[in-house]
Amino acid sequence: MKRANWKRVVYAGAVVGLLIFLHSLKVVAPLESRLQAWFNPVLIHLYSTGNGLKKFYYFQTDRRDLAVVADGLRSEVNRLTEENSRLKALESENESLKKMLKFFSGEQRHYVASRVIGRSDFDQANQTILIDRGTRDGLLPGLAVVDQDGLVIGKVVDTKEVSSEVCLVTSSKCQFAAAIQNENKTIGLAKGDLGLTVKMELIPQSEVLKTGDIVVTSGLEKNIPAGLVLGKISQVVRENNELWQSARIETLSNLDSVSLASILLP
Amino acid sequence: MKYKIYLKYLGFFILSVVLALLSTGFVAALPGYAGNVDLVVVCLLFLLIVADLRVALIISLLAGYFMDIFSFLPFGVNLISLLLTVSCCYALLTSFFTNRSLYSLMALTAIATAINWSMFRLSDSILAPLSGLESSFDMTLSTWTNLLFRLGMNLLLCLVFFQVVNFSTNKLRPVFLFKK
Repeated sequence: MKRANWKRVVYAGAVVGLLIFLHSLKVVAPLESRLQAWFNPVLIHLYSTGNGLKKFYYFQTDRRDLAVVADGLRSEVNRLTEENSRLKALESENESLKKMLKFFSGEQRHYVASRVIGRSDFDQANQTILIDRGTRDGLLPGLAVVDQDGLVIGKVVDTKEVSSEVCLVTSSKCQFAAAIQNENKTIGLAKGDLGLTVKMELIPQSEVLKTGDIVVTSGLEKNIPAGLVLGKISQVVRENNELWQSARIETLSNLDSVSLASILLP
Repeated sequence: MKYKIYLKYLGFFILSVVLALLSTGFVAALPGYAGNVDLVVVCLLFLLIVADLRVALIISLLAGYFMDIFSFLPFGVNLISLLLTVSCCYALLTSFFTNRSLYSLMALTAIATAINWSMFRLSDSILAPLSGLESSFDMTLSTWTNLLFRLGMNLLLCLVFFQVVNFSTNKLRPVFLFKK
């Protein structure tokens, strides 16, 4: 009886080898794409259900902190209202100047909307999400992915026909050519740090960084436009005897409960 | 009679698809440590007990195949790790953990978690270069803490499954042998 069972294990191993061989020859690629396309809608619903449970859990645990957060947000809203009115005045002036120079500036970004169908947390430092768009929709590795508010949440790292893998901006394997919106427009490389935050290193000590400075994409990277918001500086790490300083960047979007994402096409 | 066999295999197919979809879509989205549970591994362990090795192997092959289709890791990582986990658990179940008590099942779950975790990384590190990719995993402190959380959640799930299986079947009841 035992020998018969071990024979079954050997046969199963042979089947595994055969499946891997057939996959590498792409013989079963059409079947796999078809199966993915059929089950993507189911995954969307399952992920939405799990995400709903996550939001409910976080709402319950964060309830007591909401009052404190609300107070902070009120003062932030007041500050932004003042800044908004100042920017509107500048925008109006800018429009007039453009008309005078007969300068046409159109910012049209092509994008593909997608839904998150899964998440890979096997390695906490390299979190990725799976989306239901792939090469069929024009996706390529290296494209920026943003949430509903236009904030960067990650980058496409791998694509299949009807799905893609996106590394989150806090993942150690995700990095962006970034620029800080300070006086000097400091540029650098923003890299995910252990799945928790984003870090920008090798910034010369002569650059002046402030907590709260907004960090955006610099446009120096292929297929990623400039001006996409990555986050804001939450901490500046500066040692007097070091050549470089670094900055910790806090992302403005909630990466734990992303359910919709847009991919910016080149 | 033949249609019963076809129905049985259809049932295996549906169970495998459901396990793969739940693992990829639902479990991954759960909050906190709940997202770390290895649903497929614990289910396969209980299938080894409730059914037999043949059923567990079939489910592991089908579920592993579907998980590999949805995953972006090198193809075969889930297939290999699940097959090896089922084989090792079968060997341990028939040699050491024969009494099928809660404690032996929890010990087996812990071992299955460790085997699956290490086989997953080993197969990724072997298959990734063959597919022209880089291995996706780094060995950092968070890797080990992730394993601990995964272990804790799997043991909790094992406890729940044990109560359900014990309540609904006789497979886990002790058998007393009387000498005549």
